[in-house]
Amino acid sequence: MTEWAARENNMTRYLMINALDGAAMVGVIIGAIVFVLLIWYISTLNGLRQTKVKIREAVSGIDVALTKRYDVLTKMVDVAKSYATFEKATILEAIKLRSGMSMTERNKASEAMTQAAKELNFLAENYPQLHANENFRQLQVAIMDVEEHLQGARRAYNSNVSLLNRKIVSFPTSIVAGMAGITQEEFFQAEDSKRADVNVNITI
Amino acid sequence: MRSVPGPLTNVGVKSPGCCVKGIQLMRTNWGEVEQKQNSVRLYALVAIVLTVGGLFFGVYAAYSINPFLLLAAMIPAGLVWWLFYKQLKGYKESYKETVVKSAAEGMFDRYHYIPDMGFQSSEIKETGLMSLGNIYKSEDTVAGTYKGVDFRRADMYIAQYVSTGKGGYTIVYLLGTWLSFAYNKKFVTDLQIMTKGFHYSNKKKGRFFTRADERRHSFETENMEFNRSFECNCQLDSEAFYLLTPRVMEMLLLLKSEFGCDFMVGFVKNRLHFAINSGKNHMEPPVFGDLSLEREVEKARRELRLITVIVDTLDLDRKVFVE
Repeated sequence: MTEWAARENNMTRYLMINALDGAAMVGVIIGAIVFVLLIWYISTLNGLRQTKVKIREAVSGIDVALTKRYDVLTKMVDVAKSYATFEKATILEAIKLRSGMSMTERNKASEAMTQAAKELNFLAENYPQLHANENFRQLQVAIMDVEEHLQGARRAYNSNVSLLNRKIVSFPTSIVAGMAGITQEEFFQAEDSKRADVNVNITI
Repeated sequence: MRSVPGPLTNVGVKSPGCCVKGIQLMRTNWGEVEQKQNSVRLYALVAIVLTVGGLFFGVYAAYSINPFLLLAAMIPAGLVWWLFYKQLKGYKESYKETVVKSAAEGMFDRYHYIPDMGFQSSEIKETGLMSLGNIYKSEDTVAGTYKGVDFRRADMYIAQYVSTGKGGYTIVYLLGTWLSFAYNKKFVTDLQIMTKGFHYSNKKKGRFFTRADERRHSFETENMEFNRSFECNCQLDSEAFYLLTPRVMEMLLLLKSEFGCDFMVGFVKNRLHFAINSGKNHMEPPVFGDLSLEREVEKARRELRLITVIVDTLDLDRKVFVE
């Protein structure tokens, strides 16, 4: 082989090696980008799921508070029965607590209980002996404490829901949420309206 | 260090004639305090003169006569320094007894002051709120009740001495006051709130070195200004929000401007703890500065007023839920 041919051969081999190195480099870069995107996807998804878990935890806190409130109200009705004759315990009839309620149903139950507590306090105003009853007074205090717990659980729930919803609507987290089927949650709002479908009355 | 005894004595119980008698007693005792300060200053001056003079003479004598003369020359100075510290201790005790008791008079329902006692390091460790270094000192306990709220406060110094090869340096974790109050709500889990500049708290957030049931996590409230000013860690969100009501958050923001320094608040085992990193050891008397009765009492009163401010601001006397 002449010198010139050998030089050309070397040049060709050199260019081929460089081309292969370039291809490998591009492959490495693409691989690194994919890897980073995968890590980001996994961490974002985990973050969203952890927030969902915290929301479920907050929901359970709301349920506990609602159940406690219902129990205390039941005891108050029992004490009130001694002073005011009830044909039936209609005051708590409309309040039905069950597992797996939606937030809207929980809202309604909470509003109904608020109304029931108001009715009982109004009753106590009209019956001084009931108002002076030590048990009833302690239950009134207990109701206040339970309501503070309920407010705390509600705020904790809403805080986590707000965090989740903000993440879901923000880009690029919205992509991950969409792919994983994670949707926005509803807030727990204690509104002072729409009691038309709640039947609360006291029969004396 | 001894802890505060359980039942409180009747020392300092409010009574109608206390203030007049208190002032008379204060002025009598103040004369003694001033005398002791003069005595301390004198001893300090003599000790310094003897130390400097002893050094000059000792070095000269050691060089020209006998090396052991240096040691002999320092003995009088050493003796006077020992007497100085003894006098200083007596002066501090006398100052604290007079000033703190005068300042506390009429402020609380009942109180008990112990100058050489504070919180034990084990008590602070048990709260799990604070990093404890290898230097711990706590003194000047004032314990009692105010508006029916049980309280306890003490000065505190927590630091870490780090030894390097050639020397060392000290990192101060907390220099200020620790206050503890009975809280008016029952709770089970911990809540920790601190200003952004409070760096040496124990956050208990680590996965590997903290038990799962003791672990805290950070959370944010709905109050943006509060979130900007404070960092919050809790074990259970719903209970944290139960304790950290909107009113409490507003009051903590007020306290932040009142204190003017970094602090931490901890809700642990039905007690409310405040760690205020003021950078000062309060209740300490000036050795070489001028003594003024009114100024010193006012200084102590300002420090004790933290107790009443916290109780009043956070409505700790509202015992509805505890009943």
